[in-house]
Formats: sequence, C-alpha cells, structure tokens
Amino acid sequence: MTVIAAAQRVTAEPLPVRVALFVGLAALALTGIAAIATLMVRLIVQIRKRRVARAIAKWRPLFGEAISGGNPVLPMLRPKERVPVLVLWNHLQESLRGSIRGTLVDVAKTVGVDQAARAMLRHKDLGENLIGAVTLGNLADGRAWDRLLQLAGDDRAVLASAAARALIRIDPTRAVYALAPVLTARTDWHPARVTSLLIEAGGEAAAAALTPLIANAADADIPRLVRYLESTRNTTVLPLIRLRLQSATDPEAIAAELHALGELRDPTDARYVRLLVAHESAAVRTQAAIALGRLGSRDDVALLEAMLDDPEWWVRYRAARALVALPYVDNEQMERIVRQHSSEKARAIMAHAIAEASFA
Amino acid sequence: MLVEDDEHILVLVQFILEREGFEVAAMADGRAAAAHVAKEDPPALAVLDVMLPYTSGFDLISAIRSSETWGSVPIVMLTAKAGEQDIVRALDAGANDYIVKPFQPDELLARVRRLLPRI
Repeated sequence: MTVIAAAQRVTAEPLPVRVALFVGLAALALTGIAAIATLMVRLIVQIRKRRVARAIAKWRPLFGEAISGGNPVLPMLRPKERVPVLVLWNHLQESLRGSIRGTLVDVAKTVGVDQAARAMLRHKDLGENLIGAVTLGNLADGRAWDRLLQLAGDDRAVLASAAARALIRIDPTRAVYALAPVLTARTDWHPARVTSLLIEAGGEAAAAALTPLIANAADADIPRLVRYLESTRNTTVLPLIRLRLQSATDPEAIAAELHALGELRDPTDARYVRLLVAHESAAVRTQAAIALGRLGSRDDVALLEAMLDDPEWWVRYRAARALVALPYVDNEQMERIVRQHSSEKARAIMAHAIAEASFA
Repeated sequence: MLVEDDEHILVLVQFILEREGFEVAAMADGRAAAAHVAKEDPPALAVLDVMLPYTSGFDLISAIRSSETWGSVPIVMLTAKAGEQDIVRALDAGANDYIVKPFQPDELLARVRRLLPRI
C-alpha cells in the first residue's frame, strides 16, 4: 500500500521532479549493482586465494620431502590445483641444481604434471599457455614439440619466447635449427633474450644454425644477426664474418662485424681492422678502435695514437681507452702522449682515459 | 636462523634443515631478522639471503658481527648466480661461507655441517 501511495504521489509531481526522482533511483540502483559486483569480485579472489593456499599447503611439503631424500605418498594432481602447483614446481626446479632436479621431474611425472602442462598449451588463456610451456621445458618433455614450435611463432612475444626456450631445453640442437629462422626474423624480441636462448642452446649448434641464414641475409638485418652470431662465442663463425666484412658496404653492418671480430679475439683479424681505421663512418672508426685495442699488436700503437686526433669524440675516446688497455703501452708512454701529442684534443682525451682507468 | 624473502625457498630450506634435525627460526625480511638479532639468544648458525626487504643481508652481517652475543655466529650467505661481487662483499663483511642460487640441497647441508663444529 505504501509503495502504491508513494508511486501515486510521484506521478502527481511535475515532470522535472519525476525525472530527477527516476535519475536518483537509477543512480542508486547502479551503485547497488556496482557494490554487489565488487563484493562478488572480492569473493572470487578470496576463493581463488584459498584454493591456491590449500594447493600450496598440500604440495609444498610433498615436494620438500622428495627434495630431502624422502619417499612421499604422492596423490594425482587435480585440475583445479594445476596452476599453483605448476608455478610452485617450476619455481623449485629453477631454484635448485644438480641431480635433485631429476628427482623433481620424476615426482612431476608421477603426479601428472606433464599431462597438465600439455593440456595447458591448448588452453585459451595466455597465462596457462606460458606455465605449460615453461613446465614442459623444465621437464624436457618433447611430446608437445609441434605445439611448442607453433607457439614459438605466436604474435605475442612473451609466449613465443617461452615456447622457444622450452624447445631449447628439450633438445637444444634440434631446437636451434628449427628456431633459427624465427629467432632471426623476430625483431620484436629483445636481442638479450635471443642471445640468452642461443647461449642456452650451445655455441656450436647455434653458430652452425645461424651461419647459412646470415650468409644470405639482407644488409639491414646484418647488424642484429652478427650480434647473435657473436653471442655464440664460437670461432667457427669467423670465416663468415671476415667474408662479409670484405664485401660489406653498409656502415652499420661493417661496425657490427668489426665488433664481432674484436669480441671473438683472433689476433690475425687485426689486418682487417687496420684497413678500416680511416673509414668515412665514425661508427666504423669507433668499432675499429675498440677492435684494435683487443686484437692489436705493438705495431698498432701508432695507428691508435693517430686516431686520438679524430674529429669524432667517440673515436678519440675509444682509441684512448684501447691505448690504456694495450699491454704494449706502459705508463711512461701514456704520459708521453699526454705531454707531447701534437693535437690538443688527443692530449685531453688521453688524460681523460688515464684518469678513468685509475678509478676502475 | 634462516632469513630468505622467497617464501617457497624459505619453507624448502627450513624443511631440509629441520629434516636433518636442526631447529630453525625462519624469517622473511631483514627487519624481523635484525629485531631477532637484537632480542634473542644467538643461534648455532645464520643462513642469510643477500637481497632482503627493509634490511639487506650485508646490513644483517654487520648487525651480527657488531653484537656482543651474536658476534661469533657463523654466517652462510645465499647469493644469486650472477652476483659474484656480492660474494666478495659478503665475505669482506664477515660472512663465513656462501651458497650460490640455484643451489643443491646436499651442498647447503654440507656447508652448514662444516661450520657447526666450530662453535
């Protein structure tokens, strides 16, 4: 009765008052819905947290006992436990080293972690895909090889690189050959991520897989690819780098190749470097100074001294640093350059490099 | 005393040590550990992580070494693989030994056992 009476009173009010009342009621209703939704979200989060806590409380002692040399009675992993338990398992696996990792792999296979991980690779959720890929890598389980290879080509860089890492952990040599075209084509992957994958795959296999790709690469891709090749720390790539250096015209590519020669430290390569100390590109001259500091002999001291007068500050700085680091240049010789070099710029940069080295 | 901010590693190391018969006072941050050092009797040995919330492992070494009662407690540091400079710094600060993470449980126990007879 009260509601009907109230409704009759409202309908008797002028239109603006009625509109204001309806707007007020709608706002109240929306506020109520928002409050209920917030409570629901909080409830769901609480339920999830409790589920995670229960799974961790159940599985952490089991893993701990297995790690401590015990023989725990292992239940099968339940579907609702798989995310927290796989995260825990991977965390422990990556925090430990030695034979105990094999024990953890055996435990995981006994309770069905491998099946759960393979199922997660097919899930719609990115998080599940990532956990699945990381787990299969740590298990060295190659049964989902094709799916992982497919994911390594995924547009989402985070998933693609996790899948690539899993493949490398499963079979480094096979993986690096399968992944080389992907690794070299993906410009959205951070170079540090790619080089860490190549190092994990092993220098020799990575160098062998990358070599044919670099031989046919466009000039624009060379700086990035040479950096990857250099990261393998494998001197078998040197003939290819020398060959590329002799025919390269792009300054960025030449600079990358000089950097690689310096890093791979074959002193016979100093002859290629000497030819480029007067290159028109400052980036090339800078890398030539760095490489000469690593590969040069006593005869190169004069070349580096001449580079101290380069118009580009970075070239002068790198030449000075190279002179300070060369074993053939003693303190007396360095002081002589500071005092007697004909160029003021050269004297200044040499004094700078000596001061810097004294603080190192 | 065991101080490690990674909950899973804290519980795991505590589990491993307790299974070997050690009594473990486990803490997840440097502030709680510093308070423990100030108020409690010294333990037989301290295992400290380097990177800890509030008070670092290095500061805890200083706190232990400057304490009258705790001064001679052997300290084993848990350091990351990439943190070689941390090892030097920890040993210089007064740590007795270190374990690099990822670690081997057997190595951890061996280092703990090696230091305990000194007390």
